[in-house]
Amino acid sequence: MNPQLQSNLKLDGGKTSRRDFLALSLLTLTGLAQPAALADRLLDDKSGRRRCLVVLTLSGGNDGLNTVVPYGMGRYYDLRPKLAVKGESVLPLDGVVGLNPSMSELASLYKEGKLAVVQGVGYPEPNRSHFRSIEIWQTAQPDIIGDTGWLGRYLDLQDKNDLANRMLAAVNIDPVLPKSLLARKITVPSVYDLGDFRFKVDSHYQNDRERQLSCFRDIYKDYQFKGALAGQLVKTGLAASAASEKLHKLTADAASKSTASYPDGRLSASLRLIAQMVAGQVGARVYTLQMDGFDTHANQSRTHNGLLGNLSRSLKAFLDDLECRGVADEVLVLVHSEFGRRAQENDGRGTDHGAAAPCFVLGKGVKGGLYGEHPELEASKLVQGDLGFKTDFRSVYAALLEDWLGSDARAILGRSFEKIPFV
Amino acid sequence: MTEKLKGQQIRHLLRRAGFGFTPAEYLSYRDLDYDEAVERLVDFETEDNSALDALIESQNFDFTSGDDIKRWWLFRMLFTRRPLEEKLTLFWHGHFATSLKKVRNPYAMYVQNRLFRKLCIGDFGNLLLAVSKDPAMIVWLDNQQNRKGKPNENFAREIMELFTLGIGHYSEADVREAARAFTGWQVKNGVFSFNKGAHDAGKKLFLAESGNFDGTQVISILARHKQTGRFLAAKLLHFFLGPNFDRALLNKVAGAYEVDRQIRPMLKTIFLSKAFLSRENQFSLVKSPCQYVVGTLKHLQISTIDGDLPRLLSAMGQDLFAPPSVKGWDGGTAWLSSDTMMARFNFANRIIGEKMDALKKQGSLKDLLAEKGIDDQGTCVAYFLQLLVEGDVPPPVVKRLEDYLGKEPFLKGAESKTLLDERLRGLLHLIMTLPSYQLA
Amino acid sequence: MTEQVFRKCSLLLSLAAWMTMPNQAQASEPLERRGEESDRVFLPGNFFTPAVASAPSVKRKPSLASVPSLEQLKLIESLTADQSKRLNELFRDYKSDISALQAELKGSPDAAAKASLQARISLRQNTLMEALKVIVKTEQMDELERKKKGMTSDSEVENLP
Repeated sequence: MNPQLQSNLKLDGGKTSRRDFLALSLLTLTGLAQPAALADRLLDDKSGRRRCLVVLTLSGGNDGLNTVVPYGMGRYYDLRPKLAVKGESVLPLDGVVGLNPSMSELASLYKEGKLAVVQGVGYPEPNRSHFRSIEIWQTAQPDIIGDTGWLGRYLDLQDKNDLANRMLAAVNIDPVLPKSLLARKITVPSVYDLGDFRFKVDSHYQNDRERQLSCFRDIYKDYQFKGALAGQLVKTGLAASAASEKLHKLTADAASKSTASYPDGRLSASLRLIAQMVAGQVGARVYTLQMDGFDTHANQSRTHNGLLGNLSRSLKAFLDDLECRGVADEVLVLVHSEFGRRAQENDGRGTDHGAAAPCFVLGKGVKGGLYGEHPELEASKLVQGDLGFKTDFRSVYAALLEDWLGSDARAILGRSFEKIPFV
Repeated sequence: MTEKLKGQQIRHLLRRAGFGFTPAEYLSYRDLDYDEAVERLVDFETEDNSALDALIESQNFDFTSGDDIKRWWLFRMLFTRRPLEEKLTLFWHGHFATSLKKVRNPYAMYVQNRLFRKLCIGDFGNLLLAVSKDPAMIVWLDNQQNRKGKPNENFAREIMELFTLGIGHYSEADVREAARAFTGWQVKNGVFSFNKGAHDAGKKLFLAESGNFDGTQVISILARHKQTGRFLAAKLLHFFLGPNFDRALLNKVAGAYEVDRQIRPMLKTIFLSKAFLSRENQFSLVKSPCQYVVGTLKHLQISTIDGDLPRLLSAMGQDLFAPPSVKGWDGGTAWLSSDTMMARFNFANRIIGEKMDALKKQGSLKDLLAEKGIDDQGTCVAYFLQLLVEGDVPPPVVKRLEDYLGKEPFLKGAESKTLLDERLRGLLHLIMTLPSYQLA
Repeated sequence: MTEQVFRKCSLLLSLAAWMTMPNQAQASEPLERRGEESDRVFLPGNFFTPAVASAPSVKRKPSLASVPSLEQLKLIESLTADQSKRLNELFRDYKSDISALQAELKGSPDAAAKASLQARISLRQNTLMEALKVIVKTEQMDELERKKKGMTSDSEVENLP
């Protein structure tokens, strides 16, 4: 990119002039750069660092009604005779809804304006299969079986040179890569345990490591063989060796630089690793991770409250950690699930697969508050016993993609969606 | 057909119907005709497996420990004389995916595993019925809470979506009606119990049939459903043959099911099909972590199972008795992520280290190699590539591996003794990290 | 700028052409070459064959104690709610005592101190076992033993269709 052009744009206060817009269109036509990639340079802060998005999936279908509790709606107590959270224990967000009492840390963040709660998020014709529904959330393509993810398409739109300058474009902190990160141009690495994520050689012959690793790279770099799997194997193997080498260089350094205290558990460990990577300037634009156990068909209360408590404490520790490391401005977290649960509790003190549910967006850069309407609970307003959605999940994505990541939501989501103004 | 081509087919069969082979196993199959080998693997009940039972007895496994039931199963995979029985048990574990993480009862998971093994190749209707009454399954999919008046739909949904028909072949109404039929199917004192008081005996309309169905009848309707045959055929084909098959073969395998819902004829149809032996289907499947680990142990002829194996498998993405979701393991390219591949590489490094330590105690590596006719970089690389990946690598890789071994005169001089050990370990490790080695 | 664009375009085009071209060199060679080789390398007596075959076994870390865990005790089907509650309390105390002792053991400097701590740990395990005997009946412990050995399932599995 022409530095002159870039500085012009900056002087312009971030608004693209018509002439520059034409120049950009030309670049787009040639397919070599995207306006999004240009626009997103404008979002660099003074230190030259970038914004990143952390997407945390609550896997199994989180019970939205007992997470953001509509304690002001009498119907809630009819639908949930055994499971309802008592009005007096709710942590109120306003006169109608409040947070589950296990989430006192998130309630404080809400008061500090660092938590946005988007109510009634879903999509038309909800699917009650875990797998299809999570696929819909991850591809953002409810009408087709998509083969790229919404975050993958975002990464594909990034400027190639820009990606090359980053240590890693995105990281998945989980053994399995979610469909949301499937991209055409890059393979996103997955990291679960950093200690094991390293090309090891025989302990007697540590000096041979460089020779082996270089042989490994040479072989993988031009490995050509038959079969559909070749490309995927080679890409993943190369991504693994490159990512592990890079990550080890920086995390040793970043480990000691924070005093944040996390609760025990997998979620905490993953979030801590993300904080280290952000502080270590890995440069990833996206991090994904998930928390299991939300498929609460039976005896829900204790399990669910425990999960929400852990979620709340871990997220608070994460934001503290980011603050401590001086990178709190760079990170926004989206917390969502594949669906909420049935409005009416079942007979086993649990809830079955449902539809719309709230999402959380949190971080220092968020405009805290309550967004969207809460779905009505009257029997006539429920859709086959489920909450009707008030906000399309792609409206949440659109806001994150454009207002936070500075990308082109329309290109990624296929059409425009009204953006929720939480950034 | 040449002997060599037949050998290649038999080895392919042993990888697919089992977890690879030790030289002794290969020896016992290689002189059979291909069809005979298929028969021996598929009609495995005639194979005497009592030695395995005795071996297991001597290991004092604790079946109330999660780690130990994982070791027990790996032990079976490695030392059974009925490889297809274990492979099918693994298939059904993925199909009827149930996890320790929710069931929290290793013993119940062990019982379920024995159920899979016992019914793995016979009447699918029987298997489905037994699974539906299995205590671990009832806890896993919350049927304990499925009661008259307020049904819990979890089991009813998954039995159609994942176990029989597949998504798109039933309606939400069918889910509700099936859930009613399964009300009262519960666990009491650790075993199945029918709770009449909780059962909804009313009339149900299910998949266009109506009656006062209970779970047994719903299972019978599902097992007889044409789509179940197709669904299972496609899944078995993907698991045993790979993604390259046409509609005609799918129909043939589904047709084998339709006769009397037996799994055995479906498998024979697959293994005896032309497509199974076709070139494009050899080395066309990503090895599951189990296949990678057990196959490697067999290749290297290691007879001691490392107690840590369950953890290593989990790092590769296959925690036995704890599949990631109700859908089981996706398999295929879903096995391949950066850290699961790194976990494979590091397992290879570890197991090669152990093997080489053991070999060095037997005598000099130089002599061991010389006995096999290995006397320079070229013969060394060729030997191990043939042994571990049937030579299936692009030519530049051979060259690069030879370079790795170094320019020093191979197998000569006193100074090269440790160098030889180092390079041999490195070479074997590198071969096991090859893309080809990830395929079966 | 224009020249750069042009060069990048042509690079992309040639790359695309290269990617769609069938690769002649590797199309079938390995498989054919394979056919020519002997299968001796797959047979007994290859490089990996041990000189002396050892019996199959599992190598486990020796477990610290023969004390059953709370999770294992909870597998006893006939356990009453009251027994379960008493076990919870028993193990809460036991676990805190043992973890304190083990922490001390870890940090203890010399062999004599270590031996004395080991003795205290086994003493604590014995008192747990004594307390267990009071709460859990002998036939219930036998049930657990049978489960550990995988025995009670025989009837469950054998009665299957």
